[in-house]
Amino acid sequence: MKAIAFTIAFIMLLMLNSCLNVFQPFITPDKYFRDSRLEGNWKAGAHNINITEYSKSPLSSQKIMDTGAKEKKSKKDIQDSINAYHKSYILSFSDTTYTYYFHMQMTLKSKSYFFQLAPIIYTKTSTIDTHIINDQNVPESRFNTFGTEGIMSTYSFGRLTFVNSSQLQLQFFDGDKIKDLILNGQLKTSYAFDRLYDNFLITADSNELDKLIGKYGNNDELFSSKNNYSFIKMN
Amino acid sequence: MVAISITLGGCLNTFYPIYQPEDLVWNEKILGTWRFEDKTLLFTKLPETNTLPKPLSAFKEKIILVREITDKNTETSNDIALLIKIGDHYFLDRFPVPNSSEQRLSPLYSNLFLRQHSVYRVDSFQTGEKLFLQRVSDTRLKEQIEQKKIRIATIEREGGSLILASTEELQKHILKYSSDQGFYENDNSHTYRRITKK
Repeated sequence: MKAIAFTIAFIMLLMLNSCLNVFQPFITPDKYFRDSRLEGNWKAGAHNINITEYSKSPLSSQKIMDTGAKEKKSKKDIQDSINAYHKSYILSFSDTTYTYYFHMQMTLKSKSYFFQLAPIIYTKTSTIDTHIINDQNVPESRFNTFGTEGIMSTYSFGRLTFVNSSQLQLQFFDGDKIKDLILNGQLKTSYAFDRLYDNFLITADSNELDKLIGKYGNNDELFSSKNNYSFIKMN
Repeated sequence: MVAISITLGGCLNTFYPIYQPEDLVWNEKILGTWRFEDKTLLFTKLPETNTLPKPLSAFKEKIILVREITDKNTETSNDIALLIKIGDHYFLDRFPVPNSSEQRLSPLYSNLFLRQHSVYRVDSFQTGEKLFLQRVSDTRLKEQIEQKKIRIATIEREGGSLILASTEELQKHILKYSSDQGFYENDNSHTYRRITKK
């Protein structure tokens, strides 16, 4: 009974989402931007963070490529897709229980850097300082992307600033604020909103998102004060 | 080797629910503990709470908490569900909520997942002894969309699509095909037997 009550208490919490949930990527492979300053070990509060190229990450040895089973793709498209993966980053962060992995891409637009993150998988945090992904440390959960029972990963976006050689700042767009602006008609974009469950999703395509970021990407009022992370370089 | 891929399942998942509040029905006989092979399903009433979104709170007495537990004591799903009758058939609209271990996940990770409704045909529970559950397939809907027989909003991205059909469109579709066996997932159809009441 206690577990049930705990569950219910969290239903609302999950709905109080201050990140944007976007179905399509804003940064498409042709806009991927690489910068070696991004890579390495970082610390933000109590969290250890690692950013590494996809090809050097522990996920590169896994079958992480999107199967796209129902799409008819040419060999060139498939190769382009593989190349794009290898130009992207994997961001991981650990707490005492779990290590979380995200796809991360960065782009440069109007003299500002922007990032997008999409969750991939979480594992039990290892007591030794290595990142290995295997059947033993991947929890059976719908919140791992391959568990598709009604759960689907989305993208979230933000602004990235290289403060100096040892400090990085990631500011997420404020999902609640942007949702209010969209529902009030003050910000025009495609979206879906299920009022009954308070489930909100931006459904704009990548071109529309790109224009949106071009227009609002440097509006400080649209960034979350809560989801604002300062990364300090550890090596 | 852990296979990590976004697979395209054949089960119907939708962004919008298949019901309007006025479509809901209630039958207490669905509550209890049900068992099929190594799976146990717990159907309980939602405990008194003020934490649901306001529109859902209006009919919280009809919300069922469905938990699926394996013999290894792993909770594989944890959903809030509503019972609906469309045409001659009963359906369950299930919507995922985090289970006890998923609640410990960082919100930065778990909040980046979109939760969708999944649809099941439900039957036999009226006897109080058995519970038949069968997952609805998305095949008919996708066939209709591809053949341009219906115009329903979907969005696609590499490796996945999302059905944005409205509740009204979903109900029309269910009403039309619910007696067609091809409307359901044959390999996701189980008859559970009752272990305990509520």
